[in-house]
Order: sequence, then structure tokens, then C-alpha cells
Amino acid sequence: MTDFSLKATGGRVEDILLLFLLGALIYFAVAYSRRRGGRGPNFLGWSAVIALLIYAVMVGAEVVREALRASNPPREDPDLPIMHETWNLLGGVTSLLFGVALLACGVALVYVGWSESKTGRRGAKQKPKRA
Amino acid sequence: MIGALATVESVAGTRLSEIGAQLAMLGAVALFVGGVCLRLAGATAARTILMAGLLLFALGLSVRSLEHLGAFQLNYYPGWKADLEETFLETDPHLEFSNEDLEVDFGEPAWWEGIAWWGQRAARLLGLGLAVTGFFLDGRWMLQQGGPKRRRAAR
Repeated sequence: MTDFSLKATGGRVEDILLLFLLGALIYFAVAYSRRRGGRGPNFLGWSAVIALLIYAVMVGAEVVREALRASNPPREDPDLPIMHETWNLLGGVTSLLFGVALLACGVALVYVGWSESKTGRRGAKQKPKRA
Repeated sequence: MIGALATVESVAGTRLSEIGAQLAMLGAVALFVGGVCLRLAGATAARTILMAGLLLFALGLSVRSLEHLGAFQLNYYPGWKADLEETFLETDPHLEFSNEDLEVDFGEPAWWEGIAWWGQRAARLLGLGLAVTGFFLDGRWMLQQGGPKRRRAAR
């Protein structure tokens, strides 16, 4: 039976919100790129796209897992000639890739923030022209 | 041999998952640092919301990652008392405890463990909501500003 406890529901809401965060990060990256005169998304946008795709795969895998557990009879793995340990390894690799992608997003946002502050300082340093 | 390899793969998967949790924690902290840089570049309401959201998200994710990595263990989850009573009393109602058994302390969670358990989840949920709002508002503001050509034409 599907778990509808507060803990499980909170976890699902958190997963959806994290997907929304990555989507909002892509929107922000595209807006930043347009403001700077670029056409497509920059490094921040691409790393957010990759993180979004990886996390969507992870959420999808969790949905399949819950469906298998709720099935009759309950199962842990799909009926495929793949061992449980291999699924575990794939989960580990996906988790690692998501960590790398989120770190790339963070580093890119630090660069964007630094770049913005540099532009701001430049603007502040401009002296008024004499008449 | 295959079984031994499978066990090695499983250990490798756990190890990779741990490294992923560490990297995700660093990523959340880096996102917060980026939010601080953005806030310092321009003190707008959207960037303040963004920075606060990313701070809460980084805090919540750090606590979860540290728990996942085994840095500490929370002796709490919702309904722990009901589960304990079910395990020890309802599973076998005829079970009789000796005086020595009754003196055993089942390890009642400390006052801070419940706060940490609920706090990290609340921080992540609230932080994610605020960060989504902040990114969306700041992105919309940037789009309204237009590109360099439009800004030059406006001057």
C-alpha cells in the first residue's frame, strides 16, 4: 500500500519543489544570459538542465520503486535480469552525478553573483562627466 | 565469484551515493554563497528572498547529508512511541516482562532530536519555496531590463 504519512508526503513535496528550483534556475540563467546579450543559456543554465534531468530520473526511479512495493505481491526490483546490487550501483552513480551537477550550479551562481557585483562596482565607480 | 562481485558493487554504490551527498551539500552551500554575492551586487527584495531561501535550503540539506554520511544519528522519527509499544506490547499481548526488562531504557529521544528532525525538513521545504520565488522574481526583473541593445536605445 502506498505510504501517505506526513513524512512520505513531505518527501514527495520536497522532490517536486527541488525540480521547480532547478526549473527556476534555468529561467534565471536564460534571463541573465539575455540581459548580457547572449542567445542561449550559459554554463549555469546548462548545468541546471543536466541537474534537472538527473533529478527527474531519480524521482522517476523512486516512483517505480513505490509502485513495485505497492503491487500485489510486493516486489523490490522490476522483473529484469538485473541484480539488486546493480540497481544499487546505478542509484549511487546517479546520486554522484546529481551532486556534481548541483555543485556546478552552485559554482556557476557564485560566478554570476561575482560578475554582477563587479558590474555594479564598475557602475558605482563611474564619475559624473563635467559640463 | 559473481556474488562477491555483486557485494563489491553494492558497496561501491553506497560509497558513490555518499560522495554524491557530500557534493550535493557543497553545491547547496555554493548556491547560498552565489545568492549572497547576488544580494551584495544589488539589494532588491527578490534577491533577499533568494538569499534567505538558499540559506534555509543549504542548512536543511547539510543536516540531511551529515545524517546520511553517519556524522550523527537522530534517535527520533514521527510515531516512534507508537511503534515501540506495538513492537513490545501488541505483537504478543501475553508477553510478560521481568523486572530487569522493565528497567531497560529504550532510549527516549533527546529534546533537540525531534526539533532537528522536523526543523531540517521545514527548512528545506520553506527554503526551496523561497528560492524558487526569488529566482523567478529576479529572472523576471532581468528580462524586463532587456538586453544591452535595448538598454543603450533607452539611454
